[in-house]
Amino acid sequence: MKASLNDITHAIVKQYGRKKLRIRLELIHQELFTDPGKVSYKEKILRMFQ
Amino acid sequence: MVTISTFSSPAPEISQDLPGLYEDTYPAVAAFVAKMGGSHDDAKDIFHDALVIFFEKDSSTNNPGAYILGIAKHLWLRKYQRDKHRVGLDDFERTIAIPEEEHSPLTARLLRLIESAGKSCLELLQAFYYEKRSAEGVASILNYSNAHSATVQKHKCFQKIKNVVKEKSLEYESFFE
Repeated sequence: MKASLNDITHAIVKQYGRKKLRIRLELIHQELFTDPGKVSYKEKILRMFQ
Repeated sequence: MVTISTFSSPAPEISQDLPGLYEDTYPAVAAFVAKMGGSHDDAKDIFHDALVIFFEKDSSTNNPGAYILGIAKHLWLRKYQRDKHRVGLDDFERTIAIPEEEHSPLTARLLRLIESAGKSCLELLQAFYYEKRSAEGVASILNYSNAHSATVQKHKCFQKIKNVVKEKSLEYESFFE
């Protein structure tokens, strides 16, 4: 089976979109775990792994 | 042979309240991973993978937390088959099918190339196709004068990237066979 140029172009766009989403998720995570207003949330999560 | 996953299963627009969804749904996934003996980093990784699948697959459910936890359990099982007797999937979770992992060196290589030369086109195309935004939404976030001009530019950009793919396909011909 041969992938068409359209398929490959769509796959590249998907990979780029996915990469952007992952960066956004990482930022949200960092903000959530460094926000002074979310200390109890952070502690609740970290306690699960002790 | 190359198998490429495209947009045959359109995802709805990625939630604008992603931070809220993240904060609400992460604790359940973290608790599951902790129970399985995983680390906090494991929990974060599996949660991010689950969210990516959730948005690409079907985020129109009215109970995103249950759906995301279900995906996370499937991902854990895919990674650690040994835990299949410890991961209790309920009836709803058993109905969740997750896509196979995708590894395409060709698209990764082409993406690196296009990112350095055509990032604005990638931004536009991913807003339409990956984030599933409307033409009006794309025009608004990317500062086009109206939906029509964003749509026209979308077609131009798609053709531009397709031309790069075509040009490079001669160099990477082996990937197409």
